[in-house]
Amino acid sequence: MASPEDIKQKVVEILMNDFRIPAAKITDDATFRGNLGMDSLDAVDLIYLIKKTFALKVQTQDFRELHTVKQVVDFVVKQSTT
Amino acid sequence: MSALVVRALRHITFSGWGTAFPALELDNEEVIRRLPSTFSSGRELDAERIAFLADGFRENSGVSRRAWAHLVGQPLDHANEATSATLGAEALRRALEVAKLDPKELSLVTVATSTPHRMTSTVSADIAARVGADCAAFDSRAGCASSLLALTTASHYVSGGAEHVAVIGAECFSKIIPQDSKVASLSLGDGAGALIVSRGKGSLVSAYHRTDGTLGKLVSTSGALPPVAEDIARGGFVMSGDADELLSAIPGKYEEALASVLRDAAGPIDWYVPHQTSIPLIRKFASRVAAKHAFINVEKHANIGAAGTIVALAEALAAGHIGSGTRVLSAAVGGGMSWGSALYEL
Repeated sequence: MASPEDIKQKVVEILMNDFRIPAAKITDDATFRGNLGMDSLDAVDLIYLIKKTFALKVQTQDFRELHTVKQVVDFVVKQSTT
Repeated sequence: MSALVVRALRHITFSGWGTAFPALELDNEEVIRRLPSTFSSGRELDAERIAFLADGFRENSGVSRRAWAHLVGQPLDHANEATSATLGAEALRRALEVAKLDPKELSLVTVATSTPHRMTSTVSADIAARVGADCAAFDSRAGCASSLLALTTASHYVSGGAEHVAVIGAECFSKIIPQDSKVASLSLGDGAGALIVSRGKGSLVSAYHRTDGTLGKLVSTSGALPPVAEDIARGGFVMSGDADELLSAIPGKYEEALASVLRDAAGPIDWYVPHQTSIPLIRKFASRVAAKHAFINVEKHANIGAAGTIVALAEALAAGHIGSGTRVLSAAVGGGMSWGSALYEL
């Protein structure tokens, strides 16, 4: 089972590699739409990559209230331990 | 605040309706497949990821497909691609057939559009000439809300004595979508609708129109006319703006426009037939105004700007949803920023 640190690192790598977001901008409290400049379709794409990377059996709407990097990391950690 | 409020225009009916769309129709997957470089990775997307993105966009907006006159990302081909004038003329011919009218019987052709085919003369003059009308003609420019503004204007003329006025909404957004904007590519479509407003037993119960030009930058083409090479090169003649700020401003404009006409609406709303941008937004305000029914066609046309409301009304009329005795409420918010609403009792 991946550690919370490993999960966070993978999320950061997705944001850097698939969305070309500079590492310096990817802080815990950074919002996807505001701080990281992602649009609504980027958000859908991120959900796809997160589900695929961590093999999550969750619904797209489960991500609806997740707006920051930390919220997504915490969600993946929780899903990975249940 | 000093909005334009119009009440009790009588002797109005819709006697004809028609629509026209470009031949090229793309579903969400086809749009995404054609625009891989717009995704930040720049890598080729596999079929599973494309399908997920297509479904995700449909779930958020309700949009599944759209028709385009021009393939976004390709060079423009003005000689062979449909324009707002050619689509508008096709829609008007169909509306005249339904109304069983000769084009010479029209007193006015007015066209709502944000995508004219040239700076001057007008799209309406071109359409009038194409269909053989011999009457007054002018364009209505108020973003997506110009459809309702044109309808209100036409209703004034008919209520005042004109027998038949053609109101057309026509757009070719595909020619001004920035090729690096995947959301705009998926959200916007092309098409035209036409309504013949004639003397009849119905009325425009109430209409409301307002514009705030300080918000114009939220969605616009920023280049000055006539174009210069530098402006074209920097993207001054494709759409730009602040999508997030625009989206956050829109609901309040619908609230304001609808509240005004509802104050004059003594009785139930049979159909809510608004500008079409997203199903959640349409359903939210259909519920707010307690409409018995909401007309939705955004899934097949996407957002066609100034044509959206006219096409929706034309399709609702063609389907027999609205007609004699029906109370129809419409509303539109768009670039300018301009917003409005209108309640008809047919």
